[in-house]
Amino acid sequence: MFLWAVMILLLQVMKDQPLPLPADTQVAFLSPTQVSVAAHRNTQIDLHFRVANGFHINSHAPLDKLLIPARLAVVETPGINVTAVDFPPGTDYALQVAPREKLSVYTGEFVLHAHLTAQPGEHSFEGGLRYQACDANSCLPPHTIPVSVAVVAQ
Amino acid sequence: MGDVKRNQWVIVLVLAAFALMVWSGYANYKRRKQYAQRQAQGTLVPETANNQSVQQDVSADEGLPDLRGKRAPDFSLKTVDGKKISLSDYKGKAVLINFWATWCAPCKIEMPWLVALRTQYAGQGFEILGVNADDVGTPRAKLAKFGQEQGLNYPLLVGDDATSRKYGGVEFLPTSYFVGRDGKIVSETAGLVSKDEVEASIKKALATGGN
Repeated sequence: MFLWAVMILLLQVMKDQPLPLPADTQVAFLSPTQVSVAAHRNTQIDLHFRVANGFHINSHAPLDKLLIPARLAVVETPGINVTAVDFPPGTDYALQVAPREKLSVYTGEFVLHAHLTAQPGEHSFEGGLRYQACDANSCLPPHTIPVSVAVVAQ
Repeated sequence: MGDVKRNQWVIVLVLAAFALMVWSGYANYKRRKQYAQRQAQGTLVPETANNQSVQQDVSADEGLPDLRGKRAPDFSLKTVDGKKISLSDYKGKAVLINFWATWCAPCKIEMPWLVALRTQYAGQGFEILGVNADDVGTPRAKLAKFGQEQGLNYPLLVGDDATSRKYGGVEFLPTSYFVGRDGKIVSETAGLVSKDEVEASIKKALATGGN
């Protein structure tokens, strides 16, 4: 019993140690993992993402044409028809050394709205969010994370 | 007697567990303190906040390997107009190797500084090599146009993975290596630093003796 307590404590200590943030984890897909929708009806699925603390990504509509926008590529799947994906507007952001040069970015949690219709049955909504992340002074190469949602249509 | 011995063991184990808990708490406190310090190094300016600042994180320097004091790895790359250039072509000069990309906003901010510093120190034997880190396959014409639009007065090279790997992978942009006249790296920066800091590193590189 006591040994178990020690082991749990050890696990807790290991869990709390700061781990280096891998280059590809600046954005995480949070939810949903599964949705139930009405078949043959236009439905909106809210896709929740989170940008890691201290980072920002370009919004879907960056203010500079050379910057890489956030985009969601959707895989065509039998039984699901994705008609549109709405992105939220970005927030203005400026680097400390250049406060007049504004960027349009997402920070923290943001939500995309995917509009779809589904045939009756179980399907999988598959896609990839491409983004380019920066922190206050530097940028990372563009990266794509997978987005997967089980869609149950009745 | 057996019970006494067992009780002693239990006391020792309880004390060990208590020490572990204290250490865990201290480690957590230290971690949170470091995180708070890191967050205090940048500033986020939200549109609606009327210049009210929110603290941001900085992490570029954490991923930079320390190459200072080491010989700068040689490389041969083509410029955006097709000319082959090697680092070894600049033997005896102080060279700033600046990794950048067209999609990197901080890179664009420092470019006018680099142009001005190159103009100021070229006469003393200073050169900048701008190594591009856009996707392989980015048209050279696009990079050349970018260089013209920014008024860059130094060679722009089309980078590759092999060159990046020689410099530790170059994960964050901009990343700069300042090479002395003796071919050794005297300073390195990951992420945007002040113009004064760039200039200080250039002076340091120029102050080294050639071989």
